Amino acid sequence: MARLALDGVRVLDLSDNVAGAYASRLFAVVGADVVVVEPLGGSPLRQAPPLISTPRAGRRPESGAFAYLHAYKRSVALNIGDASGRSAMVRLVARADLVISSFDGTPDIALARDVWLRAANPGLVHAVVSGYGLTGLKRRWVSSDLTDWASSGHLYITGFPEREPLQGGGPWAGYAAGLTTAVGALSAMLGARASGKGRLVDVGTMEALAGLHQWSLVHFTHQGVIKQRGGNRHVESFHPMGLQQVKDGWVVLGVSTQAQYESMCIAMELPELITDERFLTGGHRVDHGEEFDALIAPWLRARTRAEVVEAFQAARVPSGKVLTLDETLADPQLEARALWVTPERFGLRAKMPGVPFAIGGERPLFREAPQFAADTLAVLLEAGMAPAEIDKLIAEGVAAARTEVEA
Amino acid sequence: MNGLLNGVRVLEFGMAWAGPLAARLMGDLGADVIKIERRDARGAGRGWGSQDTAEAERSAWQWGKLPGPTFRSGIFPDADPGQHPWNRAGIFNKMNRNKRSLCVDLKVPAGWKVFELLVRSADVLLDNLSPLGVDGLGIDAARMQLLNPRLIRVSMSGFGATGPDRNNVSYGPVVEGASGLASATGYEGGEPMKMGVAFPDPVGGLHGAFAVLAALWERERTGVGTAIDLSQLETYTSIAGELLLQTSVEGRPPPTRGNRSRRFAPQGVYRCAGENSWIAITVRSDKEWIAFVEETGVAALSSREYASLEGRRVAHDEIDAAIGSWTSGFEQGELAERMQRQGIAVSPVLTNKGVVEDPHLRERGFIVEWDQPEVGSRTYGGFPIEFSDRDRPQMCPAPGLGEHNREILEELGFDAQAVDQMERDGVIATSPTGP
Repeated sequence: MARLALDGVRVLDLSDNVAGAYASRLFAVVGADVVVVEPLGGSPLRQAPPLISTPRAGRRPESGAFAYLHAYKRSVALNIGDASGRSAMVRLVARADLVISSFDGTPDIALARDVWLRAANPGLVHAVVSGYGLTGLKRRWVSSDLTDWASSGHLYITGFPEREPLQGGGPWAGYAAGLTTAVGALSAMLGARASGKGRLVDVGTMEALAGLHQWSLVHFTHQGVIKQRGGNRHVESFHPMGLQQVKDGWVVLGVSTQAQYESMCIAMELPELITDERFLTGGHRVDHGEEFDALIAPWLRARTRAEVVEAFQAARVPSGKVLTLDETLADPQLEARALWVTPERFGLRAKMPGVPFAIGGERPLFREAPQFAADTLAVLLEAGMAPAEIDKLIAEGVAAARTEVEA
Repeated sequence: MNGLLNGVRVLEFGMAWAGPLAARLMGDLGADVIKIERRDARGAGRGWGSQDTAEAERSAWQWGKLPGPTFRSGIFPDADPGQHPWNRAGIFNKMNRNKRSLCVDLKVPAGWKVFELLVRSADVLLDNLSPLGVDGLGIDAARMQLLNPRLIRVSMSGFGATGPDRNNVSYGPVVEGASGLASATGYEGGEPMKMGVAFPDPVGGLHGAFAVLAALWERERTGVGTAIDLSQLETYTSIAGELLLQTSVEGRPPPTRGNRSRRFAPQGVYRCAGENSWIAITVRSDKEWIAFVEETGVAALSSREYASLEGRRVAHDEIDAAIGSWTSGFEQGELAERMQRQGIAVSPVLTNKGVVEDPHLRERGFIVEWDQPEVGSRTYGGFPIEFSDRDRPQMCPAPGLGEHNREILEELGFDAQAVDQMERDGVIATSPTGP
């Protein structure tokens, strides 16, 4: 097997949120050795929903979030609050390229930790992900995924205008912050490789998400417009650009250019819409959205998702089915692309995404998320600790190791 | 300027958002990003063909109002497309700072020759076209790497370069549908819902940027470039791994949850004083619940049955009603500060205006301003990462169409006469062809 892009890179993940875990997962899927350093009580992510039953009798349901986010990684259990635990951590850090950590409302503790981590290794990149970042007025604010959507301006513009603002269906604010963290961390590592100088990388989720507005911020700074919720429609410039009901569910249409609009009208055998003055541009169609939808509804509602998408894609009109998650799991496109892996601890029908992109077509072998402390011995030995030292840490309750028998 | 990617040259064929965002991140970090633009300037967001302006609509516009429909999509400063609308579109300008623009016709031999020279000088060639678009331009990985074996060639199409749906035309909302994530989003028991922004675009763009950085890291070892075939559909499903896993095991998707949490209770979005003003609240433990109830002083919330998570889940509707009637008497910012002092995760639901004016983001240096020819000085969202040297990237204004034609061609060794000739022949240009 060819080597993976980040073969030889060592990452230690001290974080306890979705953002940190997804950041280190990205490193793992391109070949880095990622070790999750868990407190002796286990990572809080082991309790994160969804809790999913396993087929083995007597086992409690396990966190799907942990199983997904920490796949492809190893686990060490170490109390780094203890002096000897910290010295063991220093041994690991000395040979690491990157530490990822997180905090929630306690920037001073995070900064104090940064001092000893980077003192242990001047070339180290330390990425810290939190709700609001290490600096600024709100650095001591605590956050949840919901409040991250709220603080960054995304919540206000999602959902129906006549109802309350709506969050995304999963902790995607955390995922996006994790992506931003990974980009910052790897660019800092490229800098460190050239200069020998590590860096602190500080990502606040509010700011990371505020950086992912399409045109909302520009609407205000260029025209003073407060962007509003539009439900399943685009509220300003494009229509149809969103969900439409068809015979057996919903489709998404994404018409942005005049050519796409004309092709769509012809595909529906409604060429008269092209010259209708109410519908001349996307903006006109937004303003007359109800009238427009009433005119295309008969054609759409007489057809299935598959029929609508086939007709529109043949005419090069951006469109797609709205699938339910179970349909996505059976989607031929994703099947053909070999996206799925099976974490067998949940049974043989379990499926989840494996590697989101493959550099040069290379993917790591799938490795299930580690059992708690499964790799403590191996990782500490690799760092050059003597077996007697490791035994002592375990005996003093500073580290924990899982043996084959327990597993 | 932090310049972590100084010396890296990126060629971008970016449409809409995902591709331009990936390249912009690299430009912010110091890479030399050259945006290769079509002679008709279509698809890049330079006004989406809205050059045909309506004077009556313009004169009727007031600050704070959506402009008339004809020229709304470009988001021009003060709703004025000006003489060269393609250089004034806010949606283009915010997405393309820290880049240079080369507007060149690749369909003519002289233009292709320029492009070949550029490819030989580049480290990365990035697009977010469909595979048909890639073939149409002749910029597939095999052909490009013959020109430059060190080139990192990343394609970021909607569905990927292989598989039955590879040639589907796609925008972000299409991927929201196909991934199942629109179905996973919605009010409790409600219909599927798209996000307020086309969220698959930035998710794909960030994955793309990370992939390129990893490939740059690898190239230090191998000395040769690589190809990355990224599917926005796959990157978007990758932010819902745990929901897909749960669905596979349980045989059906979990019900939509509205604004509630699968882990904590109560959690919700509640009305505040003022029009369309809201606050988001998550109470994450029994201890936080006690502090929350004390801070509100609402008797109805102090029921002993609500002391446990299970009790609060069962009575979530009643609790929501009591919280909502209490919050509606307060201003959102004041209430959030009060609750944050008690260590409770609360945030005002900020509008776009609220984000731009937020004192925290301003203190962090995220909100930036730049002065751009043909636009003037405007405020934008900046770079979302703070490095230890507190050195945020410089903001070079977005380029006008073809603004760097001459500069780039001269760097490639063309003399002034040759550039003039290409201008006369329409091989390069600074204004778009066609309607």
